[in-house]
Amino acid sequence: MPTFQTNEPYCCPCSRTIPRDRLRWLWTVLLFIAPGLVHSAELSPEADKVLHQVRGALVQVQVNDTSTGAKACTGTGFRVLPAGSVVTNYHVVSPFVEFPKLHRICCIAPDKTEIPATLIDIDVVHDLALLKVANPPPDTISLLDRPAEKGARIFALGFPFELGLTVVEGLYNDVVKESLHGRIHFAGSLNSGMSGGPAVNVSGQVMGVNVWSRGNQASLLVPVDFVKTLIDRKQRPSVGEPADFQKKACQQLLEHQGRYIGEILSRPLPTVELGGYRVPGKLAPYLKCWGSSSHERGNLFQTSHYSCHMENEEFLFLSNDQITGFLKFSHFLITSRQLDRIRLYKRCQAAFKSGYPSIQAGRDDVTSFDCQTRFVTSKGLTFKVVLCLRAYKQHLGLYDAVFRAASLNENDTALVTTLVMAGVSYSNAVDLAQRYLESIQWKK
Amino acid sequence: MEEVIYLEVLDRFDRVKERVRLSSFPVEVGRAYSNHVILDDRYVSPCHLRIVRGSDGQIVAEDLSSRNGLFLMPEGTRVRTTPLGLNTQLRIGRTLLRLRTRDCPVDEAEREGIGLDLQERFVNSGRVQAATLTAVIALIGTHQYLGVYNENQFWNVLLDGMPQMLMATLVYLSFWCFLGIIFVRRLRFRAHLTIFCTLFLLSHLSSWLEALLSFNCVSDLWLKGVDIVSILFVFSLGLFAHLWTSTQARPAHLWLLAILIAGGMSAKEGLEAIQSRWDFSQTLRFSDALLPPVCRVAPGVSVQDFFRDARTLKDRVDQDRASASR
Repeated sequence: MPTFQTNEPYCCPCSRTIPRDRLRWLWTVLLFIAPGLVHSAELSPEADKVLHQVRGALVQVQVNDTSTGAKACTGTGFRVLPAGSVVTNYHVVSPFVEFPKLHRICCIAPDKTEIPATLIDIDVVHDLALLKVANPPPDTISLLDRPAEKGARIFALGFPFELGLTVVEGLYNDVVKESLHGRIHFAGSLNSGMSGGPAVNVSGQVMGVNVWSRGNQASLLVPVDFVKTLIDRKQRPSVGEPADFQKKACQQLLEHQGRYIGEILSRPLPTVELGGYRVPGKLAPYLKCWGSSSHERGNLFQTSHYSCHMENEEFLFLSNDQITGFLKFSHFLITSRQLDRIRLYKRCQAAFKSGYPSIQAGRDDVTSFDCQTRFVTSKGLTFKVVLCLRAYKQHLGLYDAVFRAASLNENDTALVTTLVMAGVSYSNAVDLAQRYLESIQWKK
Repeated sequence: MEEVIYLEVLDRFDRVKERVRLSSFPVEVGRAYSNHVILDDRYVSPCHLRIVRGSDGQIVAEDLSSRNGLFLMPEGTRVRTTPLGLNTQLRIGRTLLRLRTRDCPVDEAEREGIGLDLQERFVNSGRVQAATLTAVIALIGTHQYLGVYNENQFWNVLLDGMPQMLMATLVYLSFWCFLGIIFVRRLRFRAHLTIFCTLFLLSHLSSWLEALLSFNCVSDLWLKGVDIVSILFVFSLGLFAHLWTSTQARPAHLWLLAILIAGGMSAKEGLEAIQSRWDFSQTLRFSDALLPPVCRVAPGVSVQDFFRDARTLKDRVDQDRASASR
């Protein structure tokens, strides 16, 4: 599974953000999907019409590094009413929000001149940002105000790889079912640099904002409703105070985790049966659950592995170094009638001490992890339990938490279970971990 | 009473090799059989030195036109003749000579030191040697057996790494035996093997202890402490025992050397541990050992208590955040 950064073709095509060993993979993908690009030279009549209708409202958004003057991140924006605001993705302007003194935002005019832009508001959760441009593009685009039909033709626009204005034709595939952020599935190719650009219908009305590509023409758009909410918002951060955006981001992250974890906690946790244990199952519809078992011949033990996680596109992008806002958990079960207890738990220890899913963050973003380890008894079962916590440095009240428990019981089945919560409040972290542990039962 | 004078022949480590009573003068010293004192030193001439007694009773050494000459030590000045006193030391070739009389004081006997005798008996006893070796072989066998997780790979896993382990042990032992040949002219292979086996058992014992502590949720800081103390103990003991067996140095000096080296190693470990604690890290540091439930000594707490106690964990993390932002 590629990481968020490499699987994220829209943002910051800066080589420093992509590990060298993954570059080859990226190029393969790029070559593979290159024929999917429809450039203005061979446009269908509809695409040609749409392009002419909206090109006056499009602009290339760029975040420049102040010390070198070179670009740190590029994307696309479009002008909407009222007051000439330009909409783009939050991740396009994220370097500015993270280090306001080191960056400035500008838009590139068709004649390649840089027009200064000011950040007005952000929506970290839906990956949107609103800019005020000193000399805005001449036209505006209207936002679609009624739901579209599945299968409708739509056109995504943007400035991929600095190839110039590009239109990509694709199909509208409705809002993704069982998703946390309710994004639109666009069957068409989005590429790096198109982030923040509009996807419009044949009448040139915005249906969504380009945000994510999984490759193979499976792309995602932020529904236009969230753009409307952002534009209509009454309270905005003070423009002169860049720190206000960090606070705003923090507040939005806290509200977001409060909402989705609160929803999980509001119901009894669903459980599944796993080798004599009842363990937490699919906690929320947007979690994707997978399973696997060992088949090696002659093995003196059998393992089962059950894991649930959010898709990468549901993670929240804070900066090139930090992603947050996700939940995953896994159960590792080892069963053996032939193994003695020492070997059984030795094998179990290997699972207990390693294989922690990493939560991407740098030393400026988070503290080091601190852990608490104890034996815990719950419903007649004994566990060795560890809870590790680290605090966000820029976002007061948010934590990354890793919770792991290994069963220590007089039977020939041992369970190691792990719950990872990125960007949650302390109370939600312990509440969910507690409910998680309490829902584990031995059924035999 | 008649004056008794000894000529002492020393090697270059100041150890007395030979003691010759001088009953009449002159005394001739050299490599030839015609001499009174015959020296097996290839840098000494056949007729190298004559010691005479003057009419005033003064003893004088004279160089007999030797090839390499006569030197007054410790200054190292070359002389033709020199009066000899009790404090005079001569060098011819690689040999040191000095005079001693009946009145020369000697030091009090050194104390034997507690346990040295026991150690000698321990490492030289055939029974102990056999027992430690058997224990080590049994331990390695068990350890390898505990790595077998597939019945088709039983022997592969059981014998995995054995040749390397054997080679490493032989290299280790030959180092100490080599040292023994240099300093005491004896191999003492079995003594070194017994010391090695004892150390092996002790270090395994300490790793079991650590595993037991780690399983019982002792914090990793304490575990590091136990680790450092056990390195200090096992390493200094082993170093001392090996050095004691293969050299003739004084036990106090050997202990000092062993403790200094072991102390240096554990200090390095400790510093690394402190540094890694201060550095930013993505890793989760906790006591992660798992053993069968029967090894559990620490009491279990209820789920509510565990999460109530987590409040102190949060406070620590918050403090960390606050100190970082300062």
